[in-house]
Amino acid sequence: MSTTSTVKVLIVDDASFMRVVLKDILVSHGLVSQIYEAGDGIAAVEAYKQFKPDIVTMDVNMPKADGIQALKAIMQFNPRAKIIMVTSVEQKHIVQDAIKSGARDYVIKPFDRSNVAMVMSKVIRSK
Amino acid sequence: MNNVIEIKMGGLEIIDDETKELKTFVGSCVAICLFDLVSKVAGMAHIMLPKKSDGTKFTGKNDIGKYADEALSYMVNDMIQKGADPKRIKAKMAGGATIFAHESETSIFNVGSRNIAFLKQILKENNIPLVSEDTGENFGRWVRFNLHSGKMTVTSNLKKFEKTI
Amino acid sequence: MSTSNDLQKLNSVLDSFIVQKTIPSLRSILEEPITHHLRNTQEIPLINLDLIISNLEEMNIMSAVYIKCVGDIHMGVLLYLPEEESKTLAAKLLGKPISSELAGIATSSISEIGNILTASLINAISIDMGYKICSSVPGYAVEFFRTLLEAVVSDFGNEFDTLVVSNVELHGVNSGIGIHILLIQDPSEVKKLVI
Repeated sequence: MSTTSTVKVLIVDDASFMRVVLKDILVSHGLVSQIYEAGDGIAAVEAYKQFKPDIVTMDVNMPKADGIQALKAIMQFNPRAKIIMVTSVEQKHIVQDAIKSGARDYVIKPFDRSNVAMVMSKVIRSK
Repeated sequence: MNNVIEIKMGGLEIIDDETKELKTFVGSCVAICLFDLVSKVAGMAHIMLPKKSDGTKFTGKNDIGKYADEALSYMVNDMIQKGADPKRIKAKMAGGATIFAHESETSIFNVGSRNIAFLKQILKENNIPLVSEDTGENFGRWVRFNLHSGKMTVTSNLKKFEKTI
Repeated sequence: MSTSNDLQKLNSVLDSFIVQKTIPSLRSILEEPITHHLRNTQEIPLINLDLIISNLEEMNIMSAVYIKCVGDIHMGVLLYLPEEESKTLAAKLLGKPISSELAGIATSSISEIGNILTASLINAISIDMGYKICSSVPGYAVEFFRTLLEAVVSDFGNEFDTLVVSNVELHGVNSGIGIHILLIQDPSEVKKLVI
């Protein structure tokens, strides 16, 4: 298992503002050492395959391919991938689809920063 | 003093009085003007969408200009009835802007450019020459057509310009 | 045409969803109490649409976010506020003044507010009524309200020559930041929300 000092994260969100916010949370809580970013579902899958991050934060509504499609593609590539959905979408059928497809957790925007840090820390430490 | 007839969204007007002007406001919609300056007949439509999808006729109420295909057909027929010569009819258009954009610049909100493309296609199919246009970009336009001069004036309050095409 | 009874009921239903989810979302984002006012929901002919443009809206350039929702419910959502106020909002979200270097992130922050507040309303509708609704990614614009309204109605692409329009105002009690949300629907959809 990676130690905190070597944890790589891929932040996936079409909003550059959200990527900055999540990066800030991760860095200020000392959770990760390397951060990658993607702005759509297709770039997310490509980035995952290229950088093989330890953990992914995944938005749902994105151009080109949405986060559920990207989640499924990444899980197919690596069934042990650790993906946390971070999205404003709370519709039951989408939440259920994400969890069934392998998402480790589901955070709803707007979120509490310390809650996100706690969820990230928990998932990083998990098997 | 010219009488100005304002055309609302989805509307259409035909004039055969050269003291009148046609006027409308367009963002992503397109103002299409057909005119015959010899017979002094002109029409303007405020086009919202390219094509009527279900093939049914317009209701004939307030939205005759809504769909490009119906609007152009109606305009040409009505102009001919008012004395226009189909061989002399020409076109000018303005609008079809892309007002909203996603930060990734993926062209998602592109109804404006679709309207322009479809209108150009129909004009070509009907051998109506497009004399001039001020289309695209990302701002709204007030559009006026003067039947006496044949000039179309385009104004942007945001960009603070006025031009004649 | 919708009956005035249906429109009143729709107004109440939308108001309850806004109170349930949208107000708490904005309160969490701005970290302050929020007040709201939902003006009457009305059905307006397209040719009369410019009658809903107020003097304030006619004179001021607005920062705006548009999201189109499709699926079991078809709804257009336009969130807007005066451009100067949007800079104040963006600075609050970023935790620092907006410089030219931050312009892109500032725009993104406003888009994301639109995204979150729209989703909050859609979530409330879906959770309460079981509908499945898909939202577009947010589109951003800076223009006069007349242009924004025309572009939204054009993109929405309704079949009829009238639209059902609801206008919501949200205010941060401490900051004074005011956000307007315009909701547009096809008259044929009204009954789906007032069952």
